[in-house]
Amino acid sequence: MGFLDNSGDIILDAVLTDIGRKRMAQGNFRIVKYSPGDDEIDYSLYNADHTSGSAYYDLEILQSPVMEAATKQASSIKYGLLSITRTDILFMPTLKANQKISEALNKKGSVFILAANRETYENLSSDSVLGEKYVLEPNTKTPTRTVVVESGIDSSERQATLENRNAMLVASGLLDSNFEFKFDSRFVAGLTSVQGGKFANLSDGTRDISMSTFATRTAIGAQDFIENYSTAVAPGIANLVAKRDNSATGFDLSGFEGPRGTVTAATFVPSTEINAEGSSTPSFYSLYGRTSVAAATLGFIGSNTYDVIDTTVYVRGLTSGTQIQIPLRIVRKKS
Amino acid sequence: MPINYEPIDPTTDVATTRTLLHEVIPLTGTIVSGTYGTFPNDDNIKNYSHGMFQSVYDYPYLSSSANHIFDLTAGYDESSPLSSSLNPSLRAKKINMYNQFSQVLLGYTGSTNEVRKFESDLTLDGEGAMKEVVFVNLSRLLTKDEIKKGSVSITLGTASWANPFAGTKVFTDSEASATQGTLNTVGGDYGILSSSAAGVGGVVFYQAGVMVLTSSIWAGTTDFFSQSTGTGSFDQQLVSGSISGSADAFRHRMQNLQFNNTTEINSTVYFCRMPHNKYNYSSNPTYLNSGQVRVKNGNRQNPPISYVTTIGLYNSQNELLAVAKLSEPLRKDPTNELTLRVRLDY
Repeated sequence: MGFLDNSGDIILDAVLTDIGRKRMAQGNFRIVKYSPGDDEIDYSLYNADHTSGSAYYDLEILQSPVMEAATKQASSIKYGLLSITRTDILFMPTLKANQKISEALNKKGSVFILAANRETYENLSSDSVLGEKYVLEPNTKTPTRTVVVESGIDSSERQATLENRNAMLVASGLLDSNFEFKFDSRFVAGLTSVQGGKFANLSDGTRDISMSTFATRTAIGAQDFIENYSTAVAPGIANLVAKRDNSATGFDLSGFEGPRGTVTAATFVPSTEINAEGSSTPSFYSLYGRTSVAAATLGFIGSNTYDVIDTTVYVRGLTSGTQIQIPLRIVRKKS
Repeated sequence: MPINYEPIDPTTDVATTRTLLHEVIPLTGTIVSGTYGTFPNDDNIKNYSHGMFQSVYDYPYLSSSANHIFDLTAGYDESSPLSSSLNPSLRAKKINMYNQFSQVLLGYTGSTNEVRKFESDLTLDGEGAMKEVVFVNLSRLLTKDEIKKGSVSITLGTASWANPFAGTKVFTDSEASATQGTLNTVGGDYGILSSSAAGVGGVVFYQAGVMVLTSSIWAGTTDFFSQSTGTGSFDQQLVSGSISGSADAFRHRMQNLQFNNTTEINSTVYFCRMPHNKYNYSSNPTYLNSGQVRVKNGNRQNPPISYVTTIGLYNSQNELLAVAKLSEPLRKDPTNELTLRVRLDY
């Protein structure tokens, strides 16, 4: 994928994608809408302090080379532009993985760990170094821990009050009511996420969190994203952890210092190709991961060995479009 | 994956156009004779065991880089005097070649369903039949959708075998144009290849990419061919020689062939209109710094700005059917509106 010649007039380089050619062959090629993207742009190059004046603020951005159009959908538009009619929005929400509440799975090193089967979960959750805090339980609708994803304003410049939440997220239409999870269907068969519940604090600072009911979410193919990936949508619940007074800031419960919008909690179902118990290693581990990895290498204790696959789950807020990547390590006890 | 889409109205945002592109195709005689190997066994000439035609490539044909440029064959009509010559060689194949081309390009006529004969005019009235001909069957790689009318020129050597280009005849279809000078038949339009000095040399079928050259071009050439078996005229070659031998002799006398091809491009132009109040923000991860929109520089009254590099075209199932890239980013803010023309060619 080369760069386009940007030495002369502005040109448009257009190609049909693979799915476009397929639809054309099927006789149902029909374009009904468009959306712009800006994948190549690094907005950190915007220099509002440029000494030569405002004409130079975005000079580096405008000089960004643009890559040729690719025919694979996954390579095409990752970040879309947003149609927000208000022009006075200064803060926009981002996503964060919450590791503060007792229901949230914590990272071990730089990854979240998903046990591939019950045997592995029992082994790892009883590990004195790991415990339940670091291991996601497979195939359950009553998980001890879940991947908790929050949407909110990642800034200390606006306090996390409910009034600010309403003004900055609800009224401006930036509340992520739903979260889209995309995962590699070769390793993850499905998504289970919280259904209803409560995520708040009280004026005395105590928690008022209830996320006990979980439901399986239907996953569909996401060939438009990355090959082998599937998509499932998890509804969010209102994140009412707020600054209620000086002793009830919610910092102990939320990853955001600014106003919090919504939250969801999810766990994953390992695929049947990788969830077998016993010493015989399923082929996917040798094809896509590592086999017979020593416990010490993974930061566990004991003399067991494990099969490991590392994958990434992509989470996106369906209103704000903001995204987060969840590095997921699927671990299977081998011996 | 975007989350905000803008509808494309088929009545106001879509236009279809048809464009004809022409390329000049010059074929010099050297490429068909003598450049690769030694005539007549050039490495870019492929002969077949069936002996019915000969293929010409632009490079030794065993190479994967070689492109097929045209086929050569020769034949005569069953009513030609050559057909009743004594001991004609490959008589049936030569008649078959003539009939095959004539049935495809001209079709049948009369109560007995005889194939039409190629004629040296645009009337197809039975007068001026060309019964002994060479066929130059141009590859679609060169002609694309069709040969441009009025663009064909072929130069043939008519002098001695030893020095064939000491005398040449140049035939063109200068009488033909997009609106006149051609006749439409079941094989498409054809025009006359003629020369003011030498008269009619044959016809060219524009859509089929076939040139039919008459034997009368070499009527005065006594040594049209010269081989170990002897020398002779075109008619003698066509009677007693092989088809590939006739093709070899023709290649030896082809000095130049030039025409313009035509590629018909049907385009759909999608006008992607970005109104002033849309697409001014981005979900690009670098768009925010500590939750703040970077380009506002801390002031909410500053306008939001985004920079467009890509346009995705989608169907109703949100499948990305086509993608267009700008050669440089375009600034989008609430003070401007953009209309991007995305043209898809078919």
